[in-house]
Amino acid sequence: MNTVTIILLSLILLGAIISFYRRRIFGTPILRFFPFFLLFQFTYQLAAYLYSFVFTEHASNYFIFNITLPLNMAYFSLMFYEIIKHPLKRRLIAVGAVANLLFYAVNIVFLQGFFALMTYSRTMMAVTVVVYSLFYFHEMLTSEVGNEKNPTRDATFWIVTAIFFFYLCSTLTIIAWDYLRINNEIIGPSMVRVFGFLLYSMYIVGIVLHKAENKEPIA
Amino acid sequence: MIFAFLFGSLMLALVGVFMFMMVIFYQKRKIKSIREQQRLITQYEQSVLKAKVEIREETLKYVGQELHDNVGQVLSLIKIYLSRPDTQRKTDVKQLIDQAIMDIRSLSQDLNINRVEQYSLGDFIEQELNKVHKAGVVKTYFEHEHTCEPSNIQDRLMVSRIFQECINNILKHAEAKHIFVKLVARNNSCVLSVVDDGIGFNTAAFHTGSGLANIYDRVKLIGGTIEIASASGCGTKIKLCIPKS
Repeated sequence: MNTVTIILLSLILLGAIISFYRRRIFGTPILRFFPFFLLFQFTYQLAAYLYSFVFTEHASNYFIFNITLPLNMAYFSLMFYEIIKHPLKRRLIAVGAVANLLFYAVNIVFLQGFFALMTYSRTMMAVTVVVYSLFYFHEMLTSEVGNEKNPTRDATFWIVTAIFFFYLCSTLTIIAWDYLRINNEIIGPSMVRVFGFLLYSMYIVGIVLHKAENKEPIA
Repeated sequence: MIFAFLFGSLMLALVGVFMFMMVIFYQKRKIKSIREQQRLITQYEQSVLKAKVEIREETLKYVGQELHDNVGQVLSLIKIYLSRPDTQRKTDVKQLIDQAIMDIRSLSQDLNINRVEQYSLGDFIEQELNKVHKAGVVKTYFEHEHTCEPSNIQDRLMVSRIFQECINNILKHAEAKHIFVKLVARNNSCVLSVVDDGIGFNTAAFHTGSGLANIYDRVKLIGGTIEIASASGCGTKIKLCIPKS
């Protein structure tokens, strides 16, 4: 197994374990489900690697990523729907989620198909997730309510920032690479691995630094 | 490898700068929010103090008037009766002295500077209305349902002062014959309504008057709401809603 792949998979598993251990301090139910989401990500990425490099002779594992794509879309949409409080933004998130899933269905049936890497759906999900992240940052900076917590002690802030940077940078990288038609098999994957490393590291840091909200006891 | 390391460092630096900026923005907003809270607290405390002073001034003014109008008159009458050697007046003099003693006792209770804090809101309103009723110019009616108390002493003080201002405005301007006051507890709040059958006024024209503005400001500070409905010749209805918590 490739060392970088091992490190990345270990990071995901570590994130899942730490978040599982600390899940009770998360305020929202969707964040309490985060360790299971990380475990899911670890499982399918491990499965994809094993399929391509252990069980077969470098066969295409795109179908594994294609199957799991709608679950990623659904979880991210639900997460942002719960953490963002503004009603209009929530409505847009719901619309975006439905649009993503519909387009996925159209893409899988009519456009790219099941066995090719569904880059259109992935890019659409990335764009919507970046937009949702911007909604979150906007609400964080302009909302009058909930200003008491330091963002660096809030796992939600770390997770959203990680997602924002990962999907923004990786999508721009892929688009730039395709546009420039650069045929380099090292730099592109290296960059994406760096983004992935940053993503899961920030998840772990956010979960470790997260401070539970102080709730006054009900008299 | 070197490329990946350099690129990773660059990405880390970018993320770091972004998070640093977000934290700075957050700290600025937090400081602004704390300053605003402190300003509101100071404003509230100043209003409470002002209300306390005004209630005391009203009390002293009332006591001064009562001393002059009632007690002073009774004592003068006693002096006249005592200056005559007519012994049949002895019984009348005793009654007058008893009357004077009762009036002075009642006034000394009014002079109790902690009256607002010691009595419930309902009792305070009843006492104020009794004073108005005793003057004989306006008839007062008071209805009180369930226990209705604002959450803390300062809020009760503010409501008491708002009530006094409403009554003073009616006595000064409304030319009313009757005042109906109702205090009820409803949906976790106290509802105080003051209705008079006076000449009324144009609420739009008087909204920026200092007396009404004072009332509106005080109501806002205690987190309550006020509705004033009035029209020329139709009396005035004031409805004050104060949260209990």
